[in-house]
Amino acid sequence: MKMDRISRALELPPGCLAGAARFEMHGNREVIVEGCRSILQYDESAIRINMGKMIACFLGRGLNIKCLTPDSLVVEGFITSIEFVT
Amino acid sequence: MVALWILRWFYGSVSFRAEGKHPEHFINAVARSQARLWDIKCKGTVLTARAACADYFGLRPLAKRSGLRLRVQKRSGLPFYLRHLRRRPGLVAGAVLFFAVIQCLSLFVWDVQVEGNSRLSREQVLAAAEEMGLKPGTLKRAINLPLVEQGATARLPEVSWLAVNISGGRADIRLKERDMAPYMVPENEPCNIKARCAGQILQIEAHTGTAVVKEGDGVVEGQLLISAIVEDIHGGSMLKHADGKVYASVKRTLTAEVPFEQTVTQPVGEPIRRNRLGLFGFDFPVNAATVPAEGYACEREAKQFVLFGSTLPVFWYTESWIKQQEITTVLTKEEAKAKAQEELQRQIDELAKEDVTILEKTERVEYTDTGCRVTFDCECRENIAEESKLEVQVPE
Repeated sequence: MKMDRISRALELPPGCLAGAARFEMHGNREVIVEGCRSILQYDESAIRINMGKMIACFLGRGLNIKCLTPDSLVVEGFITSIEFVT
Repeated sequence: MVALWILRWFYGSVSFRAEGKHPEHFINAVARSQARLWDIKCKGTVLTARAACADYFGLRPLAKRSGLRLRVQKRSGLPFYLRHLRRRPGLVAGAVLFFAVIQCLSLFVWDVQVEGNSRLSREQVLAAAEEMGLKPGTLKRAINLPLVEQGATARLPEVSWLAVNISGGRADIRLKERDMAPYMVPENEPCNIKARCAGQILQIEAHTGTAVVKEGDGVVEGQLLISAIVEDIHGGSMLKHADGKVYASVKRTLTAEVPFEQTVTQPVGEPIRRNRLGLFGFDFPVNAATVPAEGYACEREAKQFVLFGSTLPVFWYTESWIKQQEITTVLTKEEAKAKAQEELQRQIDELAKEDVTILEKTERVEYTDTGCRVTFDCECRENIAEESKLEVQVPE
């Protein structure tokens, strides 16, 4: 909460200083995820990613991981919905 | 994206297939091990992906721990291409030799270009540069550019500025030709205008000075025509540099003599052709023909090869040696006369260039035992004015 208050005071996005995950979407065809911990589920219709404080689930068709590094990944495919479990 | 593709190709990559119950475990393990995967596709229990060549060896134990079996599908990139070449040492040696030769050749100047010359010929500039050590085939390190520039400028008085730039195997000589000062009449040197030869005055154009003869006067050689002394309105006199043109009717005799027996050199037989290939300053004969003995005339032609607008140090020389034979022919009187008249006409054309006009001419033809002599007695209109310096002694 302290971090959120500091972020607000500095006019930065919430969670920016707390090390929250970052998502960058290009339409619904590609999403770049930074700050991921591990992959919990991976198949063509759903990719579930552990983000530390929450779990993000990308649902869609023909999903695949285009690129993977220790703390980020790129999901591409036809994304129909995103779910967060906190 | 292109840069990434080039990097991946340079380091090499392996496309593999992993089969097992939980491919996610394997992906997480790979991510934790700092290895990088891309093009990861998962269909049920089958996972296909690509990894860098160096990372692939570390994936096997991770796959075993995750309960997956790895199988290589495709190898691509430079390391695998080079491994393939290991079986062809000749090809590798050829490539190495190629780059070594290119590197070696790049140490020399192979082409010298000249820019900015209009009155001076390219050959004159190249000759001056060659004297200073710049010519095709010279080691670049051995060229002292400031020395070449200064030396070539000193050897070419018509040049006011010259610079040499070397780029790759080509040397560019850029120069600026000197603008020569126009002729100025030396006003402080008084002189008279005198007659160069005897004649009758037809026209006088006295630009400066006082004309002392008039049209219709007969003059002898050395006679004063335009005086340097000019009187002003107050009766005083001053010395000037006399200038003007004096046209007079002058008698000239032009003679041409043509012997009946004429010796003409004529080509005989088929020419012997020699071809040579000039490569990097060295000449290599292309055919077996040798240089013939005396009595042959040679016509040479050099063709330099050009690639994309740049001249290459490759020449193709063609020499044509043809035997010359002296043939003596006897001319008839008419032929000898025609030839002599032809020679006289050439002399008249030469005189015309010197502002001499033929007003009247009489032709005389004489035949001797050996030849024909034709004489033109001409009356010409020409400028007989000639400057004569005036020595002035200043009283102490």
